Amino acid sequence: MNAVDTSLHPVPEKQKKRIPGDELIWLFLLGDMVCFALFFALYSYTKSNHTALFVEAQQALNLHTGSINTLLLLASSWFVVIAVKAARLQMANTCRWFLLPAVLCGSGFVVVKLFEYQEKAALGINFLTNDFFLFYYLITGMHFVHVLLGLPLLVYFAVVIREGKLDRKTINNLESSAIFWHMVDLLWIVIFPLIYLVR
Amino acid sequence: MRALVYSRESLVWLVLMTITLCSWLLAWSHGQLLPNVRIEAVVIIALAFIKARLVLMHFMETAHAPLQLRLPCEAWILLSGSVLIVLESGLFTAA
Repeated sequence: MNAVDTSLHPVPEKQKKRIPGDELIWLFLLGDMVCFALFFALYSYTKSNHTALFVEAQQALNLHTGSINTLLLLASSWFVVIAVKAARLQMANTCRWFLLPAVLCGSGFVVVKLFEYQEKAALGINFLTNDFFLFYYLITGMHFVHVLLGLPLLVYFAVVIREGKLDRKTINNLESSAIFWHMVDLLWIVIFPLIYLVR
Repeated sequence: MRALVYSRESLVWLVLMTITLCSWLLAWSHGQLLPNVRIEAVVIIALAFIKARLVLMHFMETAHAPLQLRLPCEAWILLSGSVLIVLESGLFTAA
């Protein structure tokens, strides 16, 4: 039997399997996610051995600032999703206009987080206070560094994307940055309930 | 523009926001909505991993990625989710 000529029967766009962004960024992100997962498990394991201490220390956390940060990152992620879709459709202006609120929401996260750290410092709490705060500063600190790395990438694309044809390389780089930003959101989606919500 | 906003991803985003509010409500009314705080912990962690999977599949687009990418992502959700659910369930909590 002859092989099917795919040029006569093109695979519909929806069924095409593709890796969004750069393949290397995925290697980096998956490694990063595994590292965070190990810290999550270590936190949870330590908590199971010192439950009373952890639950008492959690009282010092501000549930509302954590919730606001979750909503800010979720909103930022959604703006980035729309921006990438716009870029693929060669809608450069729309892409830029969706990246700006994404940057604003991300910056909002930074401001709220700094306020939270400052609030803890004012109470005399630091990473040496107890095991809970060691994990709190370690996990949220590592995540905060990721936010600080992701934000300039979004700012960069909001600045460089101009009217005219967006080339494949720019779209691919934007996709890679977007994936990084979504991972930052994804990690916070686990960090927030694990450290703030679960008692 | 309208087609960009009225998309499946926007629906996913609404689901994510709704789950976030449910988790927050559970934690805020600590011990009142569910019979046991350990059950509450398991529900909150399970909801978090449902959200994480939605982000991975729909925002990071791994739902349409080849298996060599999708499988590690699914494995991350399954393994980290299971480990945290078991640890937070209180089964190994020191007496």
